[in-house]
Amino acid sequence: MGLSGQITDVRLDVTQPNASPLRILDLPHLALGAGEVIGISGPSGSGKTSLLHCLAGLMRPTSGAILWNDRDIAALSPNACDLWRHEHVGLVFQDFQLIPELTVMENMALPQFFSQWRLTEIQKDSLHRQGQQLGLNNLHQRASSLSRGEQQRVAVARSLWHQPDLILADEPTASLDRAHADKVMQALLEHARQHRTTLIVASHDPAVLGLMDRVIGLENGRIATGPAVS
Amino acid sequence: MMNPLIMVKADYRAMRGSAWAVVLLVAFAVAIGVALSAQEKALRTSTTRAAADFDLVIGAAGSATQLVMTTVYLQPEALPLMPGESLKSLGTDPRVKAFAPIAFGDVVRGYPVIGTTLDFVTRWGRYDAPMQGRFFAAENEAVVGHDVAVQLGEEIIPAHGMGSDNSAKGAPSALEATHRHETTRLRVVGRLPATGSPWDKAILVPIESVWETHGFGNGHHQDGRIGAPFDADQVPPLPAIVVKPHRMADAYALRSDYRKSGLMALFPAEILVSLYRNLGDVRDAMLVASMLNGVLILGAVILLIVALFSLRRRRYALLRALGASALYSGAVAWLGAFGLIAAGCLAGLALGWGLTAALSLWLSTQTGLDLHLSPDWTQTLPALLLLLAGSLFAGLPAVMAYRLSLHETLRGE
Repeated sequence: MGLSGQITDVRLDVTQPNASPLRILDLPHLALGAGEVIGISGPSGSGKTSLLHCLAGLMRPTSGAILWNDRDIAALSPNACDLWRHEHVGLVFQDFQLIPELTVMENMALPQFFSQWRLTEIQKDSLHRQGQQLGLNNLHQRASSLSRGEQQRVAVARSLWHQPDLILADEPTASLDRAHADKVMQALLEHARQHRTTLIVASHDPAVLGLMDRVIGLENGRIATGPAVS
Repeated sequence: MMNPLIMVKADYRAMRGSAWAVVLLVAFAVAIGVALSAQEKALRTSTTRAAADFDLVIGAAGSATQLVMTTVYLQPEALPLMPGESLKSLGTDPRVKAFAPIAFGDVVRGYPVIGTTLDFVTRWGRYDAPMQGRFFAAENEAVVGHDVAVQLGEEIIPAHGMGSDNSAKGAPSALEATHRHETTRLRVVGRLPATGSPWDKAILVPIESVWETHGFGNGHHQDGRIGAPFDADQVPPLPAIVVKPHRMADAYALRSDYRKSGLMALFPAEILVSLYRNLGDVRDAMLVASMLNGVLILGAVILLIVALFSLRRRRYALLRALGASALYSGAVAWLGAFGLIAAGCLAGLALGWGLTAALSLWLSTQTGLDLHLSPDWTQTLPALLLLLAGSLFAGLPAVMAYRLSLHETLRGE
């Protein structure tokens, strides 16, 4: 579809469609710079996950736009949006969302199977290298046999492996001890710096937020503290 | 090229028990249809084949069905007797190519002993020689059917009464021992080729031997003579005569002529057609019942698949979130459901044919009929219909996968 680049501008209004409409997100304007590393903080229910889902095209705003090089992601057809995510977005979910019956390697490379029958040897080598970087040594064991910390690292590895332009991470270190949390954040930041990728991390962890270029605070779906450079 | 199978396999691993349940449900529905259809066909073919050498059967007026069942399929029932003079007129009738009187009544180790002539033993001259040994040439000689467990050269003593007790065929019977015709000793001189009929489990002797054993003389003025021509005044009453006419027209004329004076003449096919009609009616009713059963099972399977999909909808939402196209997630959902139904259909075909084979084996031992199992496309029709319906309904989860709200599903709402 020829879309590549960065999210440059976000205007979002998301209202929950039910009998008594509830405004989930109300962001009149949010500018995101290319290669920026942004933290999103806020209490539970403040709209962090909804914002990430809107940016990923998983949730359509009631009104507004998400501009990706002047193209509105929110206006893409579902199929075009799926393809855009496949090519440009890496997602880390709060609850990992791994496939327990697949191996670590198959989980890491899962998006590859959307367009490819099997992995090449070069791809397998690359997966091994990335696994080692995140402390994942046995890529042939089932995801169901991993600890929560290992599962979180596999989820992070999955988001990085296809070298996305935009990484959206929802509490990527929530299940990790400090050492592994540092390792995961280091991998995410390293990728962002190396590839000039926009990294947006929703987190409660002050240590994680401290690594961000700036932190956006959310409260009841609105920006609470304004853009702030950490 | 996309690879949805990796996710289909993961889904099957995740819902192993439910997947087996779906496969088994479909397999049972298909197996019942296949078994009914295949068994009915096997029975029809084997009964037709068994009756091939019985062009026209003549007997005393009574039950036509019983005459055929006893004469062709050796069902142990006493038939009313007709006068022996019938043999004389048949012997001089130019429309008759050959004929053979048939007499029943005795057994050896559970095998019926049947008195007849060499014409019928050679199946109207089709056999030049038996499979082993030679044909009988004297009153005290016997040939055995292909499956009779009696050795050539053995001496056997017939006992009175067909199916004298429940002993297995070939096994010595205490009841038989008390009813033996001790004065009749028969030497087994030959073994006949297989006919695929109950006659393979029968012992064939000259009819004169049966008559002599029961004190009726030997049907001839001359002692020791066997086979046609018979001396009509010497022939005792008979249960059945099998006739080989020269031509089809002769068969119809003979059938008409011998339907009077307390006699009946019939083509076994007349009885078989009626039997097949009834069998067909039963089969049709059973097939309708099995199709309804299949529809119900398909409904249950679809409900189960939809329920399973609901349990796994987060997985499909995840695929979309990771960038899978609607085609990919739809393919995973469709292949998953279709694969289970297809596996059930294949297993059902195998199970159905296996059931039919087992049932055929059991029926063969009970009736002596060689029930050949010959799968054909008509038996796969229920499976194909189920597969077709399944392939359409398997689209339901695919549509549901496409319509998922990714945000709500991923958040578990």
